[in-house]
Amino acid sequence: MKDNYPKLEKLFRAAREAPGVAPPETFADQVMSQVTPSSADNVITIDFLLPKLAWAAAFVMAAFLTSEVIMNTNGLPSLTAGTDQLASAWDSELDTAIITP
Amino acid sequence: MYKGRNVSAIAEEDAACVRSILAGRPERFRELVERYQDRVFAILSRYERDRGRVEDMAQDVFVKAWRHLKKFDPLKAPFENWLSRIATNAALNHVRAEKPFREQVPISQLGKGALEWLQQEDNSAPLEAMEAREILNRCMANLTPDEQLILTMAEIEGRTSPEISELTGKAAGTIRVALHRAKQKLADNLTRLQESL
Repeated sequence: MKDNYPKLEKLFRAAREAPGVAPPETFADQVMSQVTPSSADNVITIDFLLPKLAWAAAFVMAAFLTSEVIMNTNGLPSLTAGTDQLASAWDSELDTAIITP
Repeated sequence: MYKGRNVSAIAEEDAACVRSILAGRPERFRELVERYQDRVFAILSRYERDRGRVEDMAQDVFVKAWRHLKKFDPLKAPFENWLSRIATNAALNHVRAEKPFREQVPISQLGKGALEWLQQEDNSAPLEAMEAREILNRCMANLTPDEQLILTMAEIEGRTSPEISELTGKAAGTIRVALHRAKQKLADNLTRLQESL
């Protein structure tokens, strides 16, 4: 098969002359936009996230109010009452800790 | 831009640029992209002829370099070598992914010029670069991706065994043996291809 080596050399020699692909003028911009998100991208992200956060907050508030109304209607201790109870328990704990060092 | 300048001065400048990027000036990465984009495209063009795919691969190379910038150690190798190694790995992965498709390319898909050159007894007629690439791709199809890579780096890119060793992480002796074996296989494949016409 060594007979074919000169032919291979010709192939290699010709292949070396093949022109390579040149980078486009905007190549560096393309790379930079991938690796360092611009401030415009940050604005877009905030723009995208804020409405979702607002909806999530509204949902939590609505759920809280609904549960409050339902609990009040059924005569159960409401969430507000529960929170008051916790707060007063915490206050008395704190008072005890301060009085008895 | 860097012609005629001391290689170690460029390496030092690259290292300083990397330090600056890591210290909070990401925009300086553009300098490295602009300095080495030709180099990366030249490496990748040896393994893929489609402009769009070469561009995608080159982008991946730079994004990967960006992500692993902390791992770059200027004491081990200059930035250019480190980046070339990433590009070489990308080329190897590309060859691996393309191998099943290249093996299925029928002889009839070779261009007219390539077929005529193969049919000549002494192959004395001039051969276009793209035709040579076509024939080589066809003959390399059943070589392992590693053999294809080493052969391309040595015979087409004109790299030495120590250079290939540095870029692939394989011992120089292993490279020489693999290169010899790959050339033998390629010569066999060329003979078989010519006989099948």
